[in-house]
Amino acid sequence: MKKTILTITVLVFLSGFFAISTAFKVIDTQKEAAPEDMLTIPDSVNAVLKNKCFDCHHTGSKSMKAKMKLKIDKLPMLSKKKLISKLDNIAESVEKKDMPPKKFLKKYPEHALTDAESKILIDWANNAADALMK
Amino acid sequence: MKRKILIAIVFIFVIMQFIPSGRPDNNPVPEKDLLDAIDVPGEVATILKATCYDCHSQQVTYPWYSYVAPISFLVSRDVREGRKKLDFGHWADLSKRKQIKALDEISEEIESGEMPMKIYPIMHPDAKLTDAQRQQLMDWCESCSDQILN
Repeated sequence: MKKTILTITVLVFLSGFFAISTAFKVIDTQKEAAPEDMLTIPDSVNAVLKNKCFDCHHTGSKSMKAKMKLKIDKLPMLSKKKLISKLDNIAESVEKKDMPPKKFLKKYPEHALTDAESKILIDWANNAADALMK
Repeated sequence: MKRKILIAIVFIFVIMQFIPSGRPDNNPVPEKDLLDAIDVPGEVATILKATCYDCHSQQVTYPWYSYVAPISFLVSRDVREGRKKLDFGHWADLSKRKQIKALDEISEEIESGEMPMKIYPIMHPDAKLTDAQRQQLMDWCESCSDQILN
C-alpha cells in the first residue's frame, strides 16, 4: 500500500514537472520566435553577410569595435528599435563605402563587396528597416 | 641657444594665429532644433544643452581659447565632425528612421562612455555626467524612440 502511494506521488510529481517544463518550453520558443518574424534574411543576403561581414561582426570576434557596433548572430534577438538602427546603419555604411573598412581591405582584398553584393545588402537593409517602421 | 628656441616657438605661435581654423558658424533654425521640434523633459534638455550642444547643434558657444591656435584647430574639427555625425539643430529634417537610429546610437555612446568626449568636461565641468544622469539620458532615448514608433 505504502509503495503504491509512493509510486503515485512520484508519478504525479514527475508528470507535474514534465507539464511545467513543457509549458516553459512553449513560452521560450514563443519568445525566440517573435523577433524572428521581424527580420527575414534571404539566402542571397545571408551569403554576403557570412562571407564579407561576419568575420568581424559576430559575438566571438576579436575586434571589440566591430563587435560593439554590430553582431550579426544577435540580430534576431534585438528589439525593434535596435533592429531599425542596425539595419539603417548597415545600409548607410555600405552605401558610403565606410564598410568594409578601407584599411582592412588592403590586407584582405577578398572581403571587398562587389557592386551587386553592395546592392543586395543595401536594398535588403533599407526595405527591412522601412518594414519595421510601419 | 635657449633664446633662439624660445624666439622660434613664439614666432611659430604667432604665425599659427593667421592660419584659418575653419570654425563652423551657427545657423540656427528654431523650429528644426530638437528642443523646439519635440517635447523634451526639462532636466534632459538641460543635460543635452550642457553636454552635447557645444558640438552637436547650431548653438555652439565658442569659448575665448577656441579662438587661439592650435586649440582653435581642435575645436573646429570637433564641431565639424560632431555635426556630421549628429546635429540636433537639424533634428526635424531627419526621417523617423534616422531619428530612431540617432537615439539608439546616442544611448550606446553614453553607455560605453564614448560621449561626451573625455577632453570636454575638463573645461566644461557641467558636462561631467553622473551615472544617474547617464541613465536618465538613456531612458529618455528609449521613450523618445518609442514615441516615434507609435
